[in-house]
Amino acid sequence: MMALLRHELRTALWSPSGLLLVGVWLLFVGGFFASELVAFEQAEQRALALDDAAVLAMLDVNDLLLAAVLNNLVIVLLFLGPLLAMRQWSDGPARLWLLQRAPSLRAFVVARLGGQVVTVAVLVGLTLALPSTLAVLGQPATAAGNDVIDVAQTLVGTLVVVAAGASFSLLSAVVIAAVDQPLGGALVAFVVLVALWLVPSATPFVGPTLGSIVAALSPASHLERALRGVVHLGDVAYWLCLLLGCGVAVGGCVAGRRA
Amino acid sequence: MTEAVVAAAGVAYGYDRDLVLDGVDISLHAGRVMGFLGRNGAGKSTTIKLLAGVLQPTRGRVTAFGIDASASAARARVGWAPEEPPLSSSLTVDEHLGLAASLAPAASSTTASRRDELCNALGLEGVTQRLAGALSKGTRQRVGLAMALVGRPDVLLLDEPSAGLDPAQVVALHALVRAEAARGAAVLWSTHVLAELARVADDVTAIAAGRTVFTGPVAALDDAAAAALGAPRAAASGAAP
Repeated sequence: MMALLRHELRTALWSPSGLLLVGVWLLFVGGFFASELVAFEQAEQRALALDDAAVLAMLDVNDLLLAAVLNNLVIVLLFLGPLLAMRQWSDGPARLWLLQRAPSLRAFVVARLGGQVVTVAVLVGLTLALPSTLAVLGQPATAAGNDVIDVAQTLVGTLVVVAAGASFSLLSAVVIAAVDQPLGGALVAFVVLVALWLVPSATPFVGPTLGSIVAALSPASHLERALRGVVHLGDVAYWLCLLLGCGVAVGGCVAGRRA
Repeated sequence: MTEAVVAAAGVAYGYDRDLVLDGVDISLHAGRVMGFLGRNGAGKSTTIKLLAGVLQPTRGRVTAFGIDASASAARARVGWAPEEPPLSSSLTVDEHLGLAASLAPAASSTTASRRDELCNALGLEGVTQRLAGALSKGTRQRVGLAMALVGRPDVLLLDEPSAGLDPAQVVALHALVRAEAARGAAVLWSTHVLAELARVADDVTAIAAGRTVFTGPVAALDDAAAAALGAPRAAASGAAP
């Protein structure tokens, strides 16, 4: 299985198109980080100039800067997830050949989906360079102490972004494997993901009980706490169920295609 | 003749009203090259996918080494070269061969010398570091063949292996395949070119419209070939042994 996983990662990341993807991703993330950082610093300088202790106390680098950047990354991954899945599943003859050579269907599915998860993890992991840079080169803490980067919060936030991105990619893989059409499947998956993302805004129209159920199904409802550094069992269970459910569904679709 | 190492009996594939295969019988024997003849769309590639264990028959049974052909123990001993080579455009030829070697059951014994040997035999020495996406059709075809051969499989399924190759490369491939058969491998060579089979195959199975219409030695092919390759099914069935 390791040979299959290495192959998936080699084609996804360490290839001309993979490196281009990494470059574009870093450009996006760097842009988001720079604009959020400038906005944060402007607010901080204004508060310092006015000696406004109340505003200074609210200016927390972890909640207002890093969490905002991570939240933006999730939005980018909403678009990127289907693209990653489409790219990985657009290998028609090679996919069948790999399936024939794989020790088992499970090994093939685990390696393929593992490749998608690791790709997302590498992309998101690279963004840790940004808070690290800030920690090394950033300004000293203000009197309020809000400029100190909370490592645990940053790591928890990064992990939930990985979980979200991997879920988007795997959910797209389910649709692509089901329809056996990478481009069409990715487009359908994108529509489904956007609908899932926006569904909490429909809660006022469907009543409180149904509304809470609908909201609980949305990935958007399971991000905020983690981005603030809070590990909530319900959120952990949601992401794990989503990832494992997608894995099982892809396995079922691939097995079904063989019959 | 030895016992069949791979066998399909009464195999059908597809849905009731849209059967791609409906009554395919074929068996491969160690040390022999079986020609697999049929017009385009006759169902050759689908049959090969069933023999390779990547598809499951709707009806009938496909076995390899006495077990279901889709079982991992069976698939591990089968080398498959699909009609369209299974290449990723972002990997080099060497990386493809490395992948195929690492997925072979005896990966540790698939030495670099085996890869070199295949590269020499198939004329790939000068392109090992090139990306597959930059290769010509014929070179891609030869890389796909090398990937099927690198693990020294007991069964070789070659789907239109000579497509895109020049005459000298076809001759070299014939020699390579004959050498694999001499080693003891059971080989299936799919083609729609009658003349090719006389040079490389020991036996022939012909299919038409998803049904086996002839099985026998190459020498007996001439009388049945016309029926197998285009005559109405009634006439073709009459030609079957």
